[in-house]
Amino acid sequence: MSWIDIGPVGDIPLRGARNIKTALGCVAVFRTGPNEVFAATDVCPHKGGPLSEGIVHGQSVTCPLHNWVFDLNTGQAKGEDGAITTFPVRVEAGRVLIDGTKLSRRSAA
Amino acid sequence: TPHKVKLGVSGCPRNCAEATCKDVGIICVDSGYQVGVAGAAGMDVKETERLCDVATEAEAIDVTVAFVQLYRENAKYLDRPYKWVAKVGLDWVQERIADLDVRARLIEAFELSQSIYHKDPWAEHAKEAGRYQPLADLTLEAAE
Repeated sequence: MSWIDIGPVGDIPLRGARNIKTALGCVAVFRTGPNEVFAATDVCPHKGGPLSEGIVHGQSVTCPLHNWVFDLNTGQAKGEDGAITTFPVRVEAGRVLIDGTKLSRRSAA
Repeated sequence: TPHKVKLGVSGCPRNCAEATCKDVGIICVDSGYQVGVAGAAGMDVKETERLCDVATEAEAIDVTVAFVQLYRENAKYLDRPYKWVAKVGLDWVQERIADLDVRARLIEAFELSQSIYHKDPWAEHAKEAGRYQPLADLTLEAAE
């Protein structure tokens, strides 16, 4: 578990998200109303919409393209067949730390 | 403006922009700019009358703005500039534009009237562009 420092929590808008670029593509880092932080892939499994530009409500995010609602804890879509990968993320002393082990490209085994 | 104002500027005496039939038409010549006003090219066809000759582009713009503001302040609704100039007389207009104090007051009044339209919501939003950039770039790997 290597925690990578991404940036200050304040940089992420409340009830919104910011993007980070990783070897796996874009990962969206969400900040909910009660200041919880989640991270998941930015790409909607339906048609590839940008989840970082979706509406964050409670602990879910809605894709801006076709209204697929994803639970940010499990990554499962509500009422649809699909899921997004979530990544462990935590806040420490006002900085956002994301788990780096899941973010690197897997080597051909 | 009381009615529409159509402008034209020609870069040389060839006058391809047909600035001699415009409400305000400027023709650029060697010695500067010839500002003509009160042209018509609709149901009435009328050539512009020479308002003044100026030497610099800035002064040509000033004269145009002052003329338009004078038109805005004094003409009747739905009168095109050529109708208004026929009513008040070109001499009266030229006196007002030639007097630098009156010209400055007209320009200031025009700028004031346009100042509320100088709001650009897109430019204001573009200042927040940083908010839409990626928070961090983790694709760069440390050289082993």
